[in-house]
Amino acid sequence: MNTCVAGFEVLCNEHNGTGAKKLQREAEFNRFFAEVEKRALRIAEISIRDREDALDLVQEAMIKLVRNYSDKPSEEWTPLFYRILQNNIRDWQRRRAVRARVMVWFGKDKDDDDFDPIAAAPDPVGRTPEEELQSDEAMQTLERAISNLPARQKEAFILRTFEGLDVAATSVAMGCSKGSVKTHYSRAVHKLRENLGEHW
Amino acid sequence: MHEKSDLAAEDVLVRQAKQAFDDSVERIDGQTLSKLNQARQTALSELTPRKSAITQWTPLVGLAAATAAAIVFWPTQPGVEDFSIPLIATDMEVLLMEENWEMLENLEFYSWIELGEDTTPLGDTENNVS
Repeated sequence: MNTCVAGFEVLCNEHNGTGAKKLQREAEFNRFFAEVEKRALRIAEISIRDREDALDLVQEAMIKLVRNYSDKPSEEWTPLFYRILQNNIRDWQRRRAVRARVMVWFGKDKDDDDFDPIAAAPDPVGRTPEEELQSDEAMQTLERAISNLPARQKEAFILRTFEGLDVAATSVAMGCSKGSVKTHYSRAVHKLRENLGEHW
Repeated sequence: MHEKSDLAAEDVLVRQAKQAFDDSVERIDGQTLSKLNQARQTALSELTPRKSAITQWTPLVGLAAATAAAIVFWPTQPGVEDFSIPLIATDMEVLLMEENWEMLENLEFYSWIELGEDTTPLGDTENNVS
């Protein structure tokens, strides 16, 4: 009888341990996503220039990270998450290119009617309209300049500058060597400076 | 000297770019933040392993099988009327046959005949047996 009770207690403890571990993991993921999601959204948005699709890509990246890498230590999540997001962005751009070719074939040029300027208008957060306008214009100018960069340079610049990843984490996120990251990043900064001018 | 100023200018550009980006992150509207929150919750729900279709239906299938087995194999006690499904079906069939309506109309006649059979003289029975 005593053996049975002891066995039951061991089972309960094991079950509680698993449950507590799961809750802890969930809290860790929640903290991680809450920390990166806004920047991830803007990064995706800068790359594909569509907020709704950017939201989908970020959600997809979150789900893939939880499904495939929940057993990895949380320190490894940032480069893995951005690697998934960058892959999603590249897939999206490929699909978009194919769709654009098909649209041209059928005589449709662009899906202009999808853009709703009111829905896309940002929500001001306690700034004067002048500040808002200046900041907005600066970012728009920067986004235009970034969009003219080659894909790998764009990725390196975005991950290093906007997300603040170091060279090693960026190389994991981009799936290339540290040397390549340095080269892409350096060329991107140089080109941006040329395009934006010294007074940007 | 020239390289140094270039590097400094690039540093300035990177800092400004980072600032402009951070400002744009701060300007994300409430609706989008709410969608991000929903996306996060959807992703977190992936941590709970989903039950497979087989596991989900197993209790129902088991219950249905047990009910069917209970109906088929339920032991009937002696002396208790057997109300099994085939019998009920036969009764219904008999009741619904057209000619039986006639029988029901002449119930009194049939009960009189039955009464007569019960009161047959004992001697007659003995004769029949021999």
